[in-house]
Amino acid sequence: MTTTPAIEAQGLGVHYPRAPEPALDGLDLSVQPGETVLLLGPSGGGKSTFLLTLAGLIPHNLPARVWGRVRVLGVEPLRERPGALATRIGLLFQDPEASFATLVVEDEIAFGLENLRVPPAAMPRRITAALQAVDMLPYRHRRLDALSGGQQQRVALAALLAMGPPLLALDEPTAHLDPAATAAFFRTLKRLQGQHTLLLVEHRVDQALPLAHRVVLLGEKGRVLAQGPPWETLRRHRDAALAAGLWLPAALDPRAAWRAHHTTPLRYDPPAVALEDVHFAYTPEGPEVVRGVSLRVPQGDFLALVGPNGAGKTTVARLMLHLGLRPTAGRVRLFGEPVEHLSLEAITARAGFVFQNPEHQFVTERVADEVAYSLRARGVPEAQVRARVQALLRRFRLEAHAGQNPFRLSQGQKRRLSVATMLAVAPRLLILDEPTFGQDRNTAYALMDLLLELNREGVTIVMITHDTRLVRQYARHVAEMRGGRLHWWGPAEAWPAATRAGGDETADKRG
Amino acid sequence: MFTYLAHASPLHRLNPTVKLLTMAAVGLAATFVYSPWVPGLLALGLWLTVALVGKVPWPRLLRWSGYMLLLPLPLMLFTALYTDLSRYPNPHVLWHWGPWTVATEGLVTALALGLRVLVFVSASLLFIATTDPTDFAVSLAQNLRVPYRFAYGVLVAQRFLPLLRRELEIIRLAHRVRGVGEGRGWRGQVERLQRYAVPLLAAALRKSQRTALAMDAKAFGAGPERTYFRQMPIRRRDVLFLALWLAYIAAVYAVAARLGPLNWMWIPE
Repeated sequence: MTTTPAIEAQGLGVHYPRAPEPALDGLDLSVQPGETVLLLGPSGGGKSTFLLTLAGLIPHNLPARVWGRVRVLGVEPLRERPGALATRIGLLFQDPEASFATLVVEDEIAFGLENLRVPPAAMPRRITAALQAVDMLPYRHRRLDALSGGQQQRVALAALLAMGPPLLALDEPTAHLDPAATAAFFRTLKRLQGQHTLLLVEHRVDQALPLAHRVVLLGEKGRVLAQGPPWETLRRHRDAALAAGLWLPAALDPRAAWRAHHTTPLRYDPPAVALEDVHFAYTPEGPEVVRGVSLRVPQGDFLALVGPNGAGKTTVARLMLHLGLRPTAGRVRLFGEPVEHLSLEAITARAGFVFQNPEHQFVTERVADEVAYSLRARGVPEAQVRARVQALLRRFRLEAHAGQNPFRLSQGQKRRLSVATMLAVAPRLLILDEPTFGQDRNTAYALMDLLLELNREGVTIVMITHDTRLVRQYARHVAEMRGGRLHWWGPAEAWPAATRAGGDETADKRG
Repeated sequence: MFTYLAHASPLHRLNPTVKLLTMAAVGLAATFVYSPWVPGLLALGLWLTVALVGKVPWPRLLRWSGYMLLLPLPLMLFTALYTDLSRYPNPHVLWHWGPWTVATEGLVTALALGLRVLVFVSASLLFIATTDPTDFAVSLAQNLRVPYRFAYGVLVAQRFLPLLRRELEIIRLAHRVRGVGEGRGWRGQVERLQRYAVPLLAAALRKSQRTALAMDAKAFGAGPERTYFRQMPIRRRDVLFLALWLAYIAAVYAVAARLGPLNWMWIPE
């Protein structure tokens, strides 16, 4: 019996205009109907480009030179007119919020049906079925911006399902989700496996691997390094995967059993940060986002601030420095001094805050100027500025890029630069909001090792993260937030199990 | 300042295109006359419609009314001080100081202009507060035959504004934490805008490209026609709403004509 393959690519290459090198060159891959294939590859390795080409968006909507052969369920995306692939392949993106075209859940599901010119009378039934498939039926009339990230991603998936494509291509669909929402999303995918072929790009291998029938390891420019049964393939090609910077399941990761040995003395006289019964609400009538948090972070601590999206982690971190927010009740002390008595300059001399998106923090057009900025703003003599910038660039392996524009760095380099800029004025406390977000394994570990090194030199670290593996390996204490309250606090080795269901589902998306 | 209020009222149920045309008619009716009575009575009618038919909650309506009354004040002050009095044979001067002369004629002109602005603002408020943005986009495509790509552009822009505002707030904080002081005066403002512009533009471009790709992946723009889940027919109540407003406009003109000339400045005896 011969069946048409769901995906067939031979010698596929894609070259974006003005790019020095092709994004893909020589990709060969075949996927059979009903299969679930997990695609692993280095960041910037062309995985997204491949999915966009399968859906016909490259070259029709995103111009690029394409060569080689590609077929999706027997048709050639390169030859079809734009949009013709929508009933064959559904493409799910990383950020659900950026993929919505409408404002309300049911309109979003109807959007694809309208484009396919489905008669309005036939729509309600298909909308119901699609929402049911992702457990979102009760949210039919809700506004999209009132949903949590996990709910938004399931609605985005339902919008694809409504159009009835047998093939789903998912590009890091859980990147923005917390562990509970990630688990819920994978449960939904598991149910869809029966009727759909799935092509999944995902860094969260621990959750994705049990779903996969086959793993494909991609190297540079989409060349297939290895493929086969998930565990066997990863075990056999572990070194190649590690060299490419791929995240491996905990059971195969050589560093999984490793734990940082914390020797920095902790000092409570005074603590680096002390919150006393802190409350916060955005508006006087509005709901409280932070509801009575008391927490003391000793000097020298390495604290992981964890919890579902919307639990108030980022809000608490910002309140620590009065960063655009002030508690509606309660007190915050920074190294013993009430924060409200400190000037902005005094606060930023004591503490650095690294935002989730490094680009937000760039204020100059050269990497070296970026590191020098805070020093020059404080009137530090130029000779000292140069020496300090040199030392930081060397430490963060950015010397070779000193003259480059920060926006043109790679993701890993951008992240290192954003941490380096915060260290210019040598703060005693460093707060980081999801510093390893979107990083591959090697750049994430390199960054974490740097943070550990700083911690050993006496810098107190407070890190917001969803990555339970990194929490176990690097954190000394864990503070877990739930619904605006401190749910759990204690030494990292005593922190209870990582993935627990619930939490995210009812949470508001503000935090 | 004024936003869509998602509750149910008879104004919410009207066809958006008819509502927009009706408000345009009211605006036009206030544009070509100088009598302060016409814009005054039109503004009163709009205000009563929003309050009684639109069911806007009282606290919010009072706050909005405050803004609306403050908005035309600078224009009115300017007009009162700088009306060209040489056009009047014998102006009724009330007050004289240095280069400024305040006369009854200037005050009446200022009042007429201020009330006209009030009509424009009230008509916009009525439309914005009671029109579901999705209904509006669909109605543009269905009733006015606006190309659907453009109609959806209006909708996507609606969604992007709050996202970009959030992005700007984060960028502002990210820069603050670099120890970058908030510059003072307009020079500080300009410098700050320059610093924010690059990251904000980068974010906006990336987000809009992602949205466009996601829409295209769902076959948006694949054909010249598409169907619509929401139907925006023009019903009897829409025609009635337009007819009642046209009748009110006619009545306002009639009353104003009895109280004074419509098309030139009222000059006291």
